[in-house]
Amino acid sequence: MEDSKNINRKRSVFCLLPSIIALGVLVFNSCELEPLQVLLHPDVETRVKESLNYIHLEPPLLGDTFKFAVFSDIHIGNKSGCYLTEFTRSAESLEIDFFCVTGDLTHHGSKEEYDSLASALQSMAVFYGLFNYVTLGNHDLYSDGSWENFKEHFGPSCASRTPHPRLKLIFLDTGEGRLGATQFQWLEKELSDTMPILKIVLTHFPLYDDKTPSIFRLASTAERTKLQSLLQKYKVYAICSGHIHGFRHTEINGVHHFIVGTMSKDLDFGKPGYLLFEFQSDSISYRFISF
Amino acid sequence: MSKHIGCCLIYLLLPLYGTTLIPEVSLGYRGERGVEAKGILGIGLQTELCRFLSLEGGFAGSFIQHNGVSGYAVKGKLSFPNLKRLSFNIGLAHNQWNDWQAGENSIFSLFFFQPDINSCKPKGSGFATCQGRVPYILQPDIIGLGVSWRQPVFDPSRFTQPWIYTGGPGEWNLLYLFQWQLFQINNIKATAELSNYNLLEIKNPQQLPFGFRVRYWLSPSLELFLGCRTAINGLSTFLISFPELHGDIGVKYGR
Repeated sequence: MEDSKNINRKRSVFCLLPSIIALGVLVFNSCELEPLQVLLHPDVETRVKESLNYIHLEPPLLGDTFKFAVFSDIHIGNKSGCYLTEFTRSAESLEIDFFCVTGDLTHHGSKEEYDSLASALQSMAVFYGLFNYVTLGNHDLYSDGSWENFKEHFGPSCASRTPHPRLKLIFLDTGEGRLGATQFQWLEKELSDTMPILKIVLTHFPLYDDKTPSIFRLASTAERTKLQSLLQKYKVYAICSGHIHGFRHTEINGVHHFIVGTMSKDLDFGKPGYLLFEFQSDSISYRFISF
Repeated sequence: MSKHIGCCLIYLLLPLYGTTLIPEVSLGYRGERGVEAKGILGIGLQTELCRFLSLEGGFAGSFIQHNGVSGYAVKGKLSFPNLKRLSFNIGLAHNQWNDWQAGENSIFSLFFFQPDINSCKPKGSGFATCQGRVPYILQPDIIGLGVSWRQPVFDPSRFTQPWIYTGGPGEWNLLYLFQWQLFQINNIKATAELSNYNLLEIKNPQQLPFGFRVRYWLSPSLELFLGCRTAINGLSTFLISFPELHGDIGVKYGR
């Protein structure tokens, strides 16, 4: 009797290990990540240092009244497709000047996907005058050489842009769910610039989402607290992020926290659409535009 | 403010008169690359108020960064007469980051369960099997499950107040603790744990925190302990990083 119990226990252990391995394989397969990238991806420090050394040209300054859109998670390469066509139509009718994407441009971070997205965005710029600013998300790092491909097509993952002397857009790289030392130092320096009245931070990972907490936010409490404290200290108007698919909005001590909608068709848990900002001289307003 | 805290402490300490106190003192470091690097001086106190009820309190002060109060917590543990291996714990904790003028208050409750593994105490490595049973390493010696309400406080004028539990981005978090005894040889005991909870800190669902702890009994009533903890970040990215490290060393007096 005792022997059979022991055999059962051993059997359960030997079943447990393959089950764990199978679960791991399933998880990797479902997110279509190259397994070695788990540990071998270029970390945020490397990417930020390279980004800050990057020389890029600013597009011409806009007039005193302009509109821009923010959306996220295009996931080019995902079978179901994306809403870029719908967005272009909407942007044209609303006379949007430019748009920002807060990461997960591609689904696997492969060269083909980056090529395909770059050509689509270029068409939007050429035919509709819609230029863009982007940063990366975790999916954009899922293949060997993803970071190199991102840089080649879109430049730095962390940068500040000034489309108008009174507006500063700060793009942060939170591809692996954290900011890192160099980026925090750089962010504080950028935020302490008193010239632009309005500052908006754009990044992939959200801090808070006004819903049940999930694994889809910046990981550590200290990091979230430090970032929120910096946003408050330097009176940042809003932080826009993606990663969680679906529009959400909350306000914490005067800072708007937006989770903008996804552009991927079957991954949107809310109404498909994007966040629209309207800038008029000294003021800014926002609204969610659904397709 | 200090008068209020003093009065609260007196009320808290009054019932402890005549009971056995188990104090502990520790010195630690908490570092997270690019976020914070601070020293932590911790003081803890445990006591058994009656057979089924015990109290545990903790206070931490930080230096190097966020100088001053870092956090404090109090927890009550209720044991059940007919279920000796089960206990119900409920407590309150306050954490603050003085340099960032931010704080967090939490209320938590957990059930702890200690499975019966005494009949299979490993003599050497915990990886060895005990008479054909499952490897010891697969049998946690403490399992804790619970829930907490965490209330960040970002208002610079109120972040030190431990009684704020509404408004702002409060959230429910599930709590878990799995602790394994790796080995116990003479007066040294080593344990490993996978847990998002300790008295003074609750980790986020996005992290997978784990750590090791070694206890060495210098005498039957004096324990030297050494611990280190880290957390895997990036559960929703699959791009793993370990940006933080928490280590502490201390002594505990009493059994």
